Order: sequence, then structure tokens, then C-alpha cells
Amino acid sequence: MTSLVRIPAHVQPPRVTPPVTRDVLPGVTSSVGDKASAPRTDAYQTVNTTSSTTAATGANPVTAKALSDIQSGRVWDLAPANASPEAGAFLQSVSARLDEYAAGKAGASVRALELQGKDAATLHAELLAAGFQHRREPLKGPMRPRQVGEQDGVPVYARTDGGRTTNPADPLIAMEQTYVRADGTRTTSPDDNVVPHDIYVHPADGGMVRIKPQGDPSSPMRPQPHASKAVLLRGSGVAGRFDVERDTGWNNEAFKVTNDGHPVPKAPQPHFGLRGTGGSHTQLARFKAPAADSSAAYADVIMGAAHTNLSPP
Amino acid sequence: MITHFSLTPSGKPAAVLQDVIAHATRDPAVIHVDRGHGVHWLLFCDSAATALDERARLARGETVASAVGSVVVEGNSYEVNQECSEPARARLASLVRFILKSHGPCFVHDADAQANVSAQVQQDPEILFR
Repeated sequence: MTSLVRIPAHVQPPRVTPPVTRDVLPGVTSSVGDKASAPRTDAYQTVNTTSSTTAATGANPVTAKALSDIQSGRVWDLAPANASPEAGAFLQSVSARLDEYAAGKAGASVRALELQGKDAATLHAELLAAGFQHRREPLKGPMRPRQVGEQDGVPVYARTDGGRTTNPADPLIAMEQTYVRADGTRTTSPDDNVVPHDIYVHPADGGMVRIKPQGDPSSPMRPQPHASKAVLLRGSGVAGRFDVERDTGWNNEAFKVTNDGHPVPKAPQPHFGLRGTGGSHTQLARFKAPAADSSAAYADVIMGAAHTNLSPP
Repeated sequence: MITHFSLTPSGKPAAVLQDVIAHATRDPAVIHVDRGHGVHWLLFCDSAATALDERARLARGETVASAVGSVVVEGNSYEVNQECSEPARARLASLVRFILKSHGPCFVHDADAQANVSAQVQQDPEILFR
């Protein structure tokens, strides 16, 4: 199925630097022109953003393989070779959570939750009725050192002891949080035309839903309004209950859940449980997929399946 | 691994940015997009071939694939997103190592743990990647 969304002009790239025209990697010469240089004049453009979960046309062997792997669970490798100790420990926890998810003891609240075809307000009402906790926060941008001046063109930053420094790695550097405005730029004021981020957590089973009702206008990948489902690792409350104020960080996210209810790694890397880069080249060859580009296409399908575009209000 | 982090290099922001873009775009699998208003995207693809596909998507006004790694630059703040495919992540890591080495010391903030990790990264930059 194909969904159409309207993407504001400000998310369109005004200028793409042409690729280099000389050989910079052995055997590789870039030759494409600067097709994106023309500024857009229309306020909105209709873009085909076919959801990867529903894009199983059968025409693309990598897409077909990725969707098949999601459904069969073959997308997972919870004991990858050469895993770092950090990755190994994380994947052990994920493995336990996957077992609980399969048994209906974790994330049951999000498994059958339908996101497709709904707007943010509809989902908000459904989630509250289903017992989810809700927190709305301004969508955060990066944390940065707090600049207070300039010295010969070099930024001067505040220190927490009242001093100043030009060293951004100073141990006493003062930091400030930035937020994402609707035009994709950042501000330090959460009230300065900043877009919202809604987070919902089911306190009993650790199911989590993130909704960006105005998208993330600063994102090259997903500026459009969208939602995702996930299962958290641990609850910090009494008897392990989950708390929307404390437990929703990326590091506490075990895995994402597709709209159809299948668990997938939260990022498309072996570190988070993705099997290789979409299977071995031999496996991919069986599907007549060009190995050099198949890992990106495979990863794109997996991550596309973990996010659902929202309907307009 | 720290999947999402921001860094702020030392030195004059405009000169650093120019050097970083020049270094990054020597690799044809990296795309630079000047968004205007001082915002720049560096997009890391699996290969030169996939970068051509992504350029075509951008030219059509579409978003880039989820498998692409990104550094979003605004002013002297570099927001790094390693939530991408493994080959793209390796390219992105290479650029971050270059920034840390050529334009350090850098402020580094772990967005996932909400912690200033500048000192740890100065000691061992690989904590960002392993």
C-alpha cells in the first residue's frame, strides 16, 4: 500500500554539493550532476513515501527477503561473532525481553496496536484509554556548550564556576539544551516554535509508543509526522513498573516493534541484534541481490518497518 | 557504542566546517547538503552507488533512506546519528575520528545517556563506536 504525505518545503534540500569528479577511491568516479540545486517554490510537495512495511511488491528481492526475515524472526542474531562486551551484555537483555514478548509478558500493549491510517489525536485518545502514561516534551536537538562571546573568531564558552574558556572540552564547561523548531533549525528556548514529541508508556508491560505529530523537521530521514512502537528493557518503579518520566531513554529501549507486531532491532546493526547486514552475500545472491548495495536496502526496509507515517489530522 | 551524540570542535567554526566538508566529500559515498541558515547535512551511504541513489531521492525532494548515517551541523554543533547500516556507520566513524584528531579537543555529549563524555572520548575515542 502506498501512503502520500505532504512534506513542507523547508525540509527540501536547497543545495547539494556535487560529488567530486575525480577518482578518490580506487576505481570509483562520481559523475552525477547537481540536480537538487534548483530552489523549490511550491509550499508543499506530494511525495510518495511508501511504507516499507507495506511495500512488498515482490519486485525487489531485498525488500522481499527483509520482510520475510522480519516475519520469520530470521532478522535477529543475538550472539554475533566479534560482539563487544557491551554489545553482548545488551543483547543478552534483549534476548530475555524477546522471550517475554513472545510469551505475552512484555509489550503486549503495543503488539496489536494499529498505527497505520491514524492521526496523532486519534492515537492519543486510544493510548490513554488503553492505560498508557503520556509525556509531551519539546523535541530535543543536541546539547552544546553555552557560548558567551568570541575571541579572534573563536567561540568563548561559559564555565560552571563563572569563568570563561575557549576549550569546548573544558571539564567545567556550561551546557545548554537545544530544541527543534518547525523550520528545522535549533533554539535554546522550548517555547520558540518548537515541535512536540509525545511519549507513551504502558506501566505494566513496558510497551512504548513515540509520536512526532509534526515529524522531526531537522531529520534528513524522517521529517514527516510519524510514530513508532518499542518495548523497554527495565522499569524503575515499584515491582519493575515502567515510568514515562524516567524509563524512556534510547539505552533502555530493547527493540522496536513493526506495525504488524513483529520485533525488530532498534537500529540496523549487529550491535543491536541485526543478523549480519541482511544475511551473508551468499544468502543474498540466492535472491539475486547485488551484495554491495543490498545491506543498505535491507537495513532501510527493517527501519522503515519500525516507523509508521501518520495520517493528516 | 554511543548511537546519538553531539560534538563541538575547537577553533574557528567556519574554518573547521570547511575542512570537515572537504574531508568528508572526498569519499563519493558521502553527500553534503547545504540547507541554508547555517545548517549542513553530511549523509553517509553504504557505497558510491547508493550515494547516487540518495542524491536522486534528494533531487526529487524526497527524504533519504533510513540506512543512511548523518551529521547535522548547525553553527559549531555537530549532531551525529549512527542509527544506520554498518558500512555507513564505518564511514561516519572515520569522519568523527578525523574531527577529534584534527579539530580537538572537542566537547562530546552522549544524547542517549544525557552525559558529557568529553574527557572519556579524549582518553579513548573508540567508546563512541564499539
